[in-house]
Amino acid sequence: VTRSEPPSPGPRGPGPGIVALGLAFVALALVTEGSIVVGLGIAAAGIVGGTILLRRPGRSARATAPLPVVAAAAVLAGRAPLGAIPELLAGTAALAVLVWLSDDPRRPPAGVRRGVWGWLIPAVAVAIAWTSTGLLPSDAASLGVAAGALVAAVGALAYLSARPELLEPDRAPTL
Amino acid sequence: MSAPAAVDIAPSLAWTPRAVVLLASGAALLGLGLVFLAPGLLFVGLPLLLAPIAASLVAPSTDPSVDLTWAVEGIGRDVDVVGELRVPPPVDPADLEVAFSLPPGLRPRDRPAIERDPGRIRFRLHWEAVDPLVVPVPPPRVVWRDPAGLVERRVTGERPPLEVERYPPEVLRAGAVRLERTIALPGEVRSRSLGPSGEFFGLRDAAPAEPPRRLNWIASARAGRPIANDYRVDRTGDVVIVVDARPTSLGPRADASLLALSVAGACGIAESFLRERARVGVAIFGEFLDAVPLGSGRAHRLRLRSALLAARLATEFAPAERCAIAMRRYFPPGVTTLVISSLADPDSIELVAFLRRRGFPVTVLSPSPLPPRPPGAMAGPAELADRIARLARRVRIARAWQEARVVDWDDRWSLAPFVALLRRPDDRRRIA
Repeated sequence: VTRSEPPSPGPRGPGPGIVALGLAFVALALVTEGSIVVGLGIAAAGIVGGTILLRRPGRSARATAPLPVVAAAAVLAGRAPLGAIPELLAGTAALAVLVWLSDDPRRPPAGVRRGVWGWLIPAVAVAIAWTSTGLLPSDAASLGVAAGALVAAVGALAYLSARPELLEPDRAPTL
Repeated sequence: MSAPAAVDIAPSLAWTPRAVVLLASGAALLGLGLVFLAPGLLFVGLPLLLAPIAASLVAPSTDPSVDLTWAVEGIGRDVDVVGELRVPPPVDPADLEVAFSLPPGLRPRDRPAIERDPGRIRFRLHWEAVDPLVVPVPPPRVVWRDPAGLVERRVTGERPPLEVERYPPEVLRAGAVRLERTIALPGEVRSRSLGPSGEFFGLRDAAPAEPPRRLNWIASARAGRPIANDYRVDRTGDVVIVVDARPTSLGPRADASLLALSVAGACGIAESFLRERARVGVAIFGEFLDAVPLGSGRAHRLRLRSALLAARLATEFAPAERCAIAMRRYFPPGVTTLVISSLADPDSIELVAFLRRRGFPVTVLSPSPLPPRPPGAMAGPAELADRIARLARRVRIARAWQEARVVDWDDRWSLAPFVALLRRPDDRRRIA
């Protein structure tokens, strides 16, 4: 006597998330140093790998779906030259990853609209960071400011990761 | 003074594995960006680090409460579970993830249909029963999850229990069998219950699904509306159903499958006899005997069902005589006894012999461990092995016939031979 999972409804067709991801990655690949073909190949490999994992029914496969996409974004961003536009495109590519995750093909449609705060808040942070790099005098200074802010963010994240209940409101003291 | 009741203060908001992946990736990119002085990596890592936090901020502030209403539909082997989850605002039904578990003994027939409307989620699951069964359906697991799948929150609410019952159709007629009486002068004690058979009691308006045989056509013609007869029901007698839950040489997997089938058969037969106002008892013999004494009525039906559904395959083998001795503590001798056993081992046949010697007239319903053989499905050595296995089973059943009447339950969706055998008088018992 075995217990198994019944088949779940199949995945939907491609949505706006993969379009946003493709556009952002192509834009980032176009500004990378070296061959554009290699850049586009890296972008395509990341998108295809991530999409395959995201469309699979297994929970573990879907959890690791961001890995190929993030890896491709990191490689492209690492190959990008120093400058405001490549940095903006790198941030946009990361935001596109979040938009793509919101458009999960195994969940109800319109996830990008419903999860707007999930990618809009990071978008504001990226905008602030990118604006600060433009206003500050040198690249080294902007890097220091951004690094300091990120170290603080990582520290806060590590604390919150250990205690996610801190994000919940207080419960009423009465039973 | 009693201690205050414990309150569940466990956090219900949790990161998903995907959020951990994003956080780890973001932290790694941050480190790489600092080491290699690459601001592009920092810009990639920053949104990944912030996304789980942003998802937590937009999660519902408390655990959403979603109530479930569901039912089982379909006939025969088809099992359709239809239900609805009522989702109160402001929770969006699209953010709720619903996952179903397939109970043992059922297999999917088609993909589930899940429709999300404002304020509710409707679902229809298409399953198929492999064999007759009685099995509880686990309630669906419902969690709130943000669209990016980074944070999830527990969902509470009412989850009423649900059971799937599928019996062979002939089991409905099993209760009409005349049973042996074990109480003094049973005909002198009239039941107050009204039912479908017995002495005529009176007339009443017919129900919409009233069987035609129960309609009083003359009275209906006179009144101009359907009128049915009511009868004062006689209790027909007593019956004990013994389920053999001991391990056999077939192995735990086959034993569990046969026990599930035995439990389903016992449930169906017990309900059929209870419907006819007979007194029914149940005994489950694993390592020891678990018995529900003879009784009738709605509450007794629940007692029997609970006992049968709690039946588990014993891990230790028990001698057959233990069952026969324990049976006399709970049931009077002479009560009609139905033993449901696979008869896979010689000791199963001994159980029948011991029960008979202790005064229980036994009829055996033996679920066959051999799968049904479609014509032309096997060839060569496999066919030879199958034929030998069937011959060996026939020999075992023939040996059991020396002690009691036996029905080989090989077609699991039919109990017609069993009902026909019960209807026939037990000549051997009369001679004895």
